[in-house]
Amino acid sequence: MNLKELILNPDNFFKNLSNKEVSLKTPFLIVLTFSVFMSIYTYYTTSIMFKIFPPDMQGMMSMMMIITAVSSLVGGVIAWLLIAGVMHLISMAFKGEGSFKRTFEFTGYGFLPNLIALFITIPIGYYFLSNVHIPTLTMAQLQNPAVVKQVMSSIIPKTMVYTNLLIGIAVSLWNLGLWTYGIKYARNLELKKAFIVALIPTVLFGAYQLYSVAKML
Amino acid sequence: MKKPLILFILFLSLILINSINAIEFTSFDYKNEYLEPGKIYDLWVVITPEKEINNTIMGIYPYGAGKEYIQIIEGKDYEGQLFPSEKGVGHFIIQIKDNAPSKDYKIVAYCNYTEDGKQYSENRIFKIPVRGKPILIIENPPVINEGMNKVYLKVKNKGTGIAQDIKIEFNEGNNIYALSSGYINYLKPGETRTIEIGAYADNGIAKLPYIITYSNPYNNLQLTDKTETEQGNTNTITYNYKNQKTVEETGNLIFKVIPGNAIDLNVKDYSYPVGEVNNFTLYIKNNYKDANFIITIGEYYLGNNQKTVFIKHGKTKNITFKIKINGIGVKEIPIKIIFDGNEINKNISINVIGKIDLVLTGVNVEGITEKTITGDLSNIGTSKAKSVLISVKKTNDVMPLRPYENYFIGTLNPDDYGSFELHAGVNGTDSIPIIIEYRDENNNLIKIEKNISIKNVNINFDQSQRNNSSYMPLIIAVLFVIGVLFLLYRGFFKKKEDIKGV
Repeated sequence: MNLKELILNPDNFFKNLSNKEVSLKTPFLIVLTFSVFMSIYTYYTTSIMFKIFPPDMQGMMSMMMIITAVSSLVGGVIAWLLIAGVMHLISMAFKGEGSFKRTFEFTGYGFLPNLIALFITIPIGYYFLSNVHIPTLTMAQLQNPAVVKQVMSSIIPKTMVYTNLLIGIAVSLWNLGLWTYGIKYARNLELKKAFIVALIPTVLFGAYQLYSVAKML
Repeated sequence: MKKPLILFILFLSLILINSINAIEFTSFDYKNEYLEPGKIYDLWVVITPEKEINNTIMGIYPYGAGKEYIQIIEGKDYEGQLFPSEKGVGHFIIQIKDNAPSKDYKIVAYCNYTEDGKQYSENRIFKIPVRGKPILIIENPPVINEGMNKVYLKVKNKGTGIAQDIKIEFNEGNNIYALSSGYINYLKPGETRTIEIGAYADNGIAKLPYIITYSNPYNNLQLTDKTETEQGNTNTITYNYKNQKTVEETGNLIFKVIPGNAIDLNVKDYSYPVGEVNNFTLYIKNNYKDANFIITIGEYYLGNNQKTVFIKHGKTKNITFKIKINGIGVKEIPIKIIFDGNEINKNISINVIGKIDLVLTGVNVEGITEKTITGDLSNIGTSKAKSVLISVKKTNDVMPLRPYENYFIGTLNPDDYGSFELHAGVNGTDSIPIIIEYRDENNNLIKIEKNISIKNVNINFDQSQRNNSSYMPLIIAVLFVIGVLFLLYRGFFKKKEDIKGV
C-alpha cells in the first residue's frame, strides 16, 4: 500500500488494490485518524465558542463540549458508512459489480484529503482563535439566536472563513477524484459512470461542509 | 379708742353733706321710653332748692361712653335766683348720634349757684336708655332676564337696632310679577341677607312695589300729642304715645330686564384634560344690537381673564382664554358678560377629564423561538383605565400562542399597575408588537400599540479580531487548492493524454 501513489496516481493505486484482498485496516486508520483530529479540533473550537455562556452555565457547557467531540469522532465513521452506502446504491443503477466491503474500503481511502486538510486547518484555526477575545453573554442575549449568530460570526475572522472555504472546496474536489477512481474499481464501472456515482455523495457531503463554513460569514 | 374716732368722722360727714346739698335734683325727663339714634331730644332737669340761691346755672354733659355717642346741642340754662322750694327747670337739647349702639348711657346734670356770696356746684348722674332702630333697605336689584327668573334681593340693616320677623311682600308691578314673598327672621345692625324670590319679567324696565314689615325688639313709644289742663292751681300735662314696635314700609324695586335672547353663548369644547394649559373658547352671538361686549371669566384662567370685543347685531364672534384646571370632574366657570349697561352672569360647566398614560415596566422576555413575555403595565396618568386587555399582535414574524395570546388586566387606577404574561412565537424579528386596549372614563375604547424589543443586546467586542489582516493562511489555502487542482489534472487529464499517447 503506497499512500503516495494514492495522492499522485489514484487510478493506479485503486487498480492495484482491486487485485488484492479487501482490507479495511488502512482506510479505517485514515478515517479514525481524521475523526480523532476532527474531534480534538471540534473540542478546541467549541471550548472557545462556549465562553460566550455565563460562568454558571460553564459546567453544563463542558458536558456539551464532550458530547460534541464524541459526535465528531463517531461522525467520521458514520459519514464513511453513509457515503459508501450511497455510492454503492447509486452504482447499482449503473450495474456495478463488486462487494460493499470493497466499496467501503475504497471509500475510506477517499477520506485522505480530509485528513491532510485537517493538518492545515487545525494550525490555522489555532492561529486565529488562540488570541480571540470572547464576550460573555447574558441569558437574555443568549436567548436571541440572532445575537448568538452575530457574536459567533464576530469571533471567527473572515480570513479564517475564506481559508477554510477554499480548503473545503479543494478537499471536495479531491474527494471527488479519489472516490471516482475508488468506485470505478470497487464496482467495475466506466470512468464517466464512476464520476457520476462519486459526484452525488461528494456534492452532498461537500455542500454540507461548505455550508457549515460559509454560514460563518 | 377707735370707736369714738369713727363716730366723730361720721358726724362730721353728716354736717358736711347737709351743708352742701342745698338743692335737690327733682326729676330728669326726656318724654320717651327709649331714645333712638339719629334723633334730637328735649331734656328737662328739675331742681328744688332748700334755701335761697342766686346766679343759678344748670347744665348737662355726657359721661363715659356717652361722650362718643351723645351730642349736646343746648347744654346750659340760666335760672337766676331761686327761693326755697321754688322749682328750677333746665331745658336742654341733645342728639343721639346715628351710630349709637343700644345701651344705657350716662349724662351728668349739674347746677352752679351762689349762696350767701359763696359759689357752689352740685351734680347728679342720670341714665339715658338708647335703643337702636333698624333701618332696612333693599340693595340695588339685579339685572334680570326676560321670562322666569330667580331673583336674589339683598336686604341690609343700615340702622343700629335689630330688626325681627322681616316680611317682604310684593304687589303686582309693571312688567314684572313676583311669584313669592320673602322672609328673614332677624337682621343685626350692618348685616345683609339675601332672599330668593321667583319673578316673571317682560322686556323693558320693570317696577315691583313691595311692602316690608318688621318689628323692633323694644317698645318704641312715639309721642303723638300733648295736652295741658289747668284746674285751680294745678296744671296737668298729658302726653299720648304710640308704640311703634312694628314698622311697615313700602317702596318700589326697579329692575332692568334683559331680553331673553340678547345673546347666545356657546362653548367650543366642554371637555378638557386635567393639568394642561388649554384654550377655552366662547362663541357669542349678538341678538341685541351693535355693542361692545366685555367678557370676564372668574376662575381657572391664566393671564388675562377679561376681553372686550365689538359684535355687530346678528354676528357671532369667538373669544379665547387660557385656562388650566388641576382637578378632575365637572367644573363651573363663572362668565360675566357686560354689554350696553346690561350684565349677564352665567356659569358654564365643563368636564375636566384625567389623562391615561399606560407604560410597560419590568418587561422580561424569555425563550428562543417561543417567547414568554412577562412584565407590568403601569398607569402613570391621572385617570383610570378600565377593561385593560393586553395582547400580542399577529404579524408575519410574530404568532400569538395559546393560552396567553392575550391577558386581561382589568381596571388600572392612577398609580396602579397590573402584571401580565404573553406567549408568542417569533421568526427572525427584533421586536414583538403588542396591543393594549382599554376604556376611558367615558367608555370610549382606546387601542395603543407598543413594541417590545427582543434584540436586547449591546455587545462590545474587538472588531479588529474580525478583520484579522494576516493573509498567510489564505495563501496556504490557495496553494493547497492549486496543489489539489494539479493532482486532479494529473489524475484525470494527464492520464487520458497518456492513454491516447499509448
